[in-house]
Amino acid sequence: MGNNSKSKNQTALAFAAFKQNKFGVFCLSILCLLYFTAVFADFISPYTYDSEVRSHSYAPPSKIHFKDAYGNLTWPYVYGISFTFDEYHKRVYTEVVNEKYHFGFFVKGDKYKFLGIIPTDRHLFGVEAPGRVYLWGADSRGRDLFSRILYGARVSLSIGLIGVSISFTLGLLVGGISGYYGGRVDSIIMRGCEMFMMIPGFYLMLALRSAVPDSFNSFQIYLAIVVILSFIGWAGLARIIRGMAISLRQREYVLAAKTLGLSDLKIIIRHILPHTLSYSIVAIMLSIPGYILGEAALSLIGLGIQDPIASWGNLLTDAMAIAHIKLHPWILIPGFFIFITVICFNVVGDVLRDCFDPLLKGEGEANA
Amino acid sequence: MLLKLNNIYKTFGGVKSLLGTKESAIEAVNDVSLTINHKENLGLVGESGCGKTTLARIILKLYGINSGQIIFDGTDITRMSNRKFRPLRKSVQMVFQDPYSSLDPRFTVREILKEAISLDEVKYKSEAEQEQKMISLLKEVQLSGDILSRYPHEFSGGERQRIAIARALILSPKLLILDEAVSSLDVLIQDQILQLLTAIQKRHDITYLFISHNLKVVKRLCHRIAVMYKGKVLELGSCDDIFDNPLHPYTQELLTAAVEYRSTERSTDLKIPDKGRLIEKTKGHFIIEG
Ligand SMILES: Nc1ncnc2c1ncn2[C@@H]1O[C@H](COP(=O)(O)OP(=O)(O)O)[C@@H](O)[C@H]1O
Ligand SMILES: [Mg+2]
Repeated sequence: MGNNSKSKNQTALAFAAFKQNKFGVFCLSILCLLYFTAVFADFISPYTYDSEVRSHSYAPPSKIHFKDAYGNLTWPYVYGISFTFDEYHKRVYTEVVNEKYHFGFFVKGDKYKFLGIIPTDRHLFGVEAPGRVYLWGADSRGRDLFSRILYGARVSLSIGLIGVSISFTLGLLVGGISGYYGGRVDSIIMRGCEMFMMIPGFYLMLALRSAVPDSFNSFQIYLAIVVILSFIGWAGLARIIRGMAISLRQREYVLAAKTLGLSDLKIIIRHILPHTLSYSIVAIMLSIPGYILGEAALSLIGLGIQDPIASWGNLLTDAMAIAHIKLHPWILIPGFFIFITVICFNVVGDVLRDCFDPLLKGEGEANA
Repeated sequence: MLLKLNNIYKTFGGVKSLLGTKESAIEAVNDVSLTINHKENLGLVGESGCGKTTLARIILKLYGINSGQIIFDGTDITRMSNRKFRPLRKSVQMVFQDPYSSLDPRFTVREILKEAISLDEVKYKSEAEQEQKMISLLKEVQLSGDILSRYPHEFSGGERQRIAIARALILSPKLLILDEAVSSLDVLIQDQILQLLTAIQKRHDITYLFISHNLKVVKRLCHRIAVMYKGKVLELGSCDDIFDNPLHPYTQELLTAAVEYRSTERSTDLKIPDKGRLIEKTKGHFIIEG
């Protein structure tokens, strides 16, 4: 054996090793920051996701002024904006110099329910009404892109987490059962998994999406998308867990539990699945990007989250036309967020795998 | 009669492949018949790979069999479904060969024992009562009660084996199978565990099936000894029969090896009659003859 020194704290050991990796920690902090802003999106963002001013369609990012007309440093402010049409009927925005709106903290703005419970109209920052600040520009209907990205993070980031929890529960159980029982049960389950894995994910996603009724409201569509995405993800995991379960079921402590008369399900949950934990954590990290990209892909082509609800995917819908990108480059910012998130999850997953690796080797081997 | 095995066959592998070529199966247990009487410990001896562990796992119904019959405490359990067998299962417990892998490394001693306690018919009213039971069990195997919060890797091989014995004892089994339970321990610790087992038997209504490759160790605990070779029982008799009057050349070899502490060097492979049956030579002393 020789791996007797590893125990319950092998996970702790791996996390200690993780802390040594600066890049991994950096990416993890970015992820934490993103999730934090997603949770408090309604407070942090100056406007709600559907607060629109039609006359500000595609307004460019506001210029923030730190100096007054005489060149003296003042509290930052923005000017009001107005537009004229150029010869191509494109709006050209200009600042209205006699309308000054100062920045403020905890300013009054759109009404919302803080964390969905406490009704309030205070926002972390903003400018005095009726001025509007567009940190990252506005979209076609004059809605603040910065606010919509924060709201969109709620959808996009939570889909990853919820999707991964559903497909992992499914994958762990199915894989655990398949590997533990072996024989015919195993063959049948594995052939089923292979059928799922055979269909290209994107087409399966489209097919499943077309089965969702049109009458669904946005929340139901959100749930449907989560379920669809988890449906695609579980089979691959089930296969890997099954492989580990096959070697783990030979362990003497599993046989001992069986001898005591513990039920099969309890043995799988208590003595088999926990030993796949180190693998699972890595796999979870590496598979979350798939869900985020899946949602983005569906929403981008208009099958996912529907306007006015924001998600990183449907915020990019505008960016599908090259002309729009040329004229209003800021509409690409949501794509940057997707990119960063996906990279961070992959880095964290990779670093974690390296930390677990020496331990994983001991975990995977069967008992002679 | 506590346990009766009738003509047990067990092969591994030998599945027909798609092309119809049949790989030869390993005959791990080949026509074994044994009985274990109440309070009469049976020793099962044989070199590594002869099928001892397989036989033990067959008794525990961890492995299915090709043919044969298992009668435990008057009930035929051969074809009993897992669900039906579960209540009976408590009566046969096992201490495994490798004390390093028979305890889940993620569980504390408390969690390990609690798992067994939760399956006991005796329902404990309170946490404190369970705790009390655990401490008294640990005392029984000469461990102190304050190790409950520790993890298996913090113990020596001997201590782990004691924990494994404590766990097996919780369900008050009638038959305890000890599969090479002391083989991985050094002689001094072996001795302590054997003494412990003797002491436990004095207090409890328990019978041992003691598996080992070392005849000398078996002698300490057992009333009868079965000698196994390549899946077959070659000789069966009381301790005295086997030690004073070994009939089969293989038993004689084992005996020399045990007494002189040297490995057996066999010039030619032993020929075992394929259709051999155990013939009673003197009362209670059997030898295989073809
Ligand atoms: N799960 C298994 N699959 C295939 N062959 C096995 C399995 N378990 C044991 N065997 C084979 O059966 C024979 C008897 O093994 P075992 O019962 O472990 O012997 P012992 O415990 O006496 O050392 C050996 O040849 C071994 O290789
Ligand atoms: Mg063995």
